[in-house]
Amino acid sequence: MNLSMNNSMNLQRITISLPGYVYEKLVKQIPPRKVSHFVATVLEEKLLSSYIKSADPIDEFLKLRKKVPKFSFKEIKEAINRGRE
Amino acid sequence: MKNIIIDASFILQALLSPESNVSIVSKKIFKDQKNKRIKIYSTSFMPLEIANGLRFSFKEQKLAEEIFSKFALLKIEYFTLNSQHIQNVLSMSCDLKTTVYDTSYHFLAMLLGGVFYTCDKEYFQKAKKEENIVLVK
Repeated sequence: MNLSMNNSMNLQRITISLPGYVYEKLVKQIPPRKVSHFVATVLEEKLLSSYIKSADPIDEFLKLRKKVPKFSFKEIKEAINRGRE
Repeated sequence: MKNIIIDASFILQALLSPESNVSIVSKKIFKDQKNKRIKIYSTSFMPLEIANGLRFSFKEQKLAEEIFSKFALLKIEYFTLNSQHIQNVLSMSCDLKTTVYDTSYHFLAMLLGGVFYTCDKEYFQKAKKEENIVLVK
């Protein structure tokens, strides 16, 4: 299959609104003729990762208990407040 | 629907405590929220407290970042206190002799008619005469 031809045949044009600061960063960092490709790549990554992460977020979070070192409440509280003294 | 307000110590204790009690409670309340029995709230600065807690708990940057990315997916409604709310938090924290940060979670529970779930025994001891608070051990 000719993938590039297949992709170009399925292109959809959309109009999107962006916050001003995001737009400024976009036009500074991405050449004008590559904006569509960049946006499509970022969107695809984001959409695929949200599909992969469809497991329950609390289960995914608590799974980390197996790999993290453990701390006392006093140590946790000190870490939260560090730098405020 | 019941409102539950959680602080940074509750979330970090669920993950980092050697005991599993808080993680069991946290799992239950997030499941209850999924089943639309309760709603979980926190203050808008709680993610910053979580990030600071991770920043100063772990030498391994990647692990801290991984934990934060998983934390960020938890469904928590963040509430931004306005200046009138903060005025009330300040008065309350002076009365209770507690920090403004800790008191703000408790105030939010009072404001929303919910219950503040905390693992902070010291805060609980000072504030238990007020309502809307539960110590999770």
